[in-house]
Amino acid sequence: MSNFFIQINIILNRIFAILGLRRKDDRWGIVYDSVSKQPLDPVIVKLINAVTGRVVQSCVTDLAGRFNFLAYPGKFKILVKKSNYKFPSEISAGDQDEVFKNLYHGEFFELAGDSDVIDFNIPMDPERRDWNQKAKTFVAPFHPYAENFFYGLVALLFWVALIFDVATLYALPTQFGYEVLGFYFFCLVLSWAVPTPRFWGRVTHKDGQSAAGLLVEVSYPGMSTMILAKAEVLEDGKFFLRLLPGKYELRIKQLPKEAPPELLLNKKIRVGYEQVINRNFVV
Amino acid sequence: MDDRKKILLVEDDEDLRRSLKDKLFRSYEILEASDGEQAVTLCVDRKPDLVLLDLLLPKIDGFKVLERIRQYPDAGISQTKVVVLSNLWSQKDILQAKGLKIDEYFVKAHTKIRDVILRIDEVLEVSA
Repeated sequence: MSNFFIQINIILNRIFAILGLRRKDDRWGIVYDSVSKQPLDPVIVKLINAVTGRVVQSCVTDLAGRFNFLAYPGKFKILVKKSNYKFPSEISAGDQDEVFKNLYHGEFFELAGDSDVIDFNIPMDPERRDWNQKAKTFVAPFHPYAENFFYGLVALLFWVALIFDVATLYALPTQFGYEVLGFYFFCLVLSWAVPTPRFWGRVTHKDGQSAAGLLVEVSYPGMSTMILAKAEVLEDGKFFLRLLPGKYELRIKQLPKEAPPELLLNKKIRVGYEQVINRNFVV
Repeated sequence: MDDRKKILLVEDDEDLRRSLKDKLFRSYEILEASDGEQAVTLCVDRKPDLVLLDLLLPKIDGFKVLERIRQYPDAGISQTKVVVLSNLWSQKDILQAKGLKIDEYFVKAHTKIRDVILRIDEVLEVSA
């Protein structure tokens, strides 16, 4: 998919979100408090290969409790650790609770596709008061309850307005009423047909071959020595970088053995509400 | 007597602190603090070669810890090398920390512990 169509896809999905037809599709897992439903950080998350028992990847959750792994096909399990919290959760023991779906409790799972994203939500039970979680409410006043309420309200407004339009047409048919109804159905059909934006970027060489092994790093503009995030390009050319919306500088580097990194691309980019870099880059 | 270089780990989350300590203790003498006040006290009393500092901390936050270290009259303390490891990553937070003359800033969620250790080795000029 070219960058032009990726951009069109992003714009359409933003319109659908404004109209309440589609939620922002999160492509990461969230570790959260099973009682307060507040995202947890810092949580150490380890992806373990079921056959070898080895840690394949590990990471620490961000302020919004998010973690992500792009893994290869195979059988895995996840282990999470945070002071003052217990895993697996006994409080949110089912497949879903009132806020989160697709819950994980330490069982083995299989990945079939290349670079599948692991997007389980992981509840942890509080054992003691955690200072960090209390303090975080001032720093990151994000809460899934508020997000659910916002999306629910917008969706409700869309459907109430549609029902109101149909009722008005029934009582008083007008040209304008039919046009509005047509617009509603056009939006509905479009929202079913248009896919959600992809959540990964791709780096290829000029001949179209995958640029596996290159390093993608991101910093704020003018702060190139302070690397915010970095990722290695996988075999199929994909990479996954999650960022907050804003302007950044992206650099793609080759890492030859025992030599300074060679800069192949330096580009200013903008990250939107999808919070991932999902464009194509050619080096 | 332990003549290895000293690192003060300032992190309120015990599991993460233990995880960092497990990776560092073979090469360095490790001091630990779980809040800002303890961090300043240990910095003054034990004069570590480097402070690995979280910013969201109980009692006094990491920015205040940095300010107190930098304003200390003894140059042996005020010029202590500091590497920040925090989940705060707004441009404002990073610039504020940079203004307090830190040696490096890592975002926890986007950093591998291995990279933090490599940078600490560089800052302290310790060969691997």
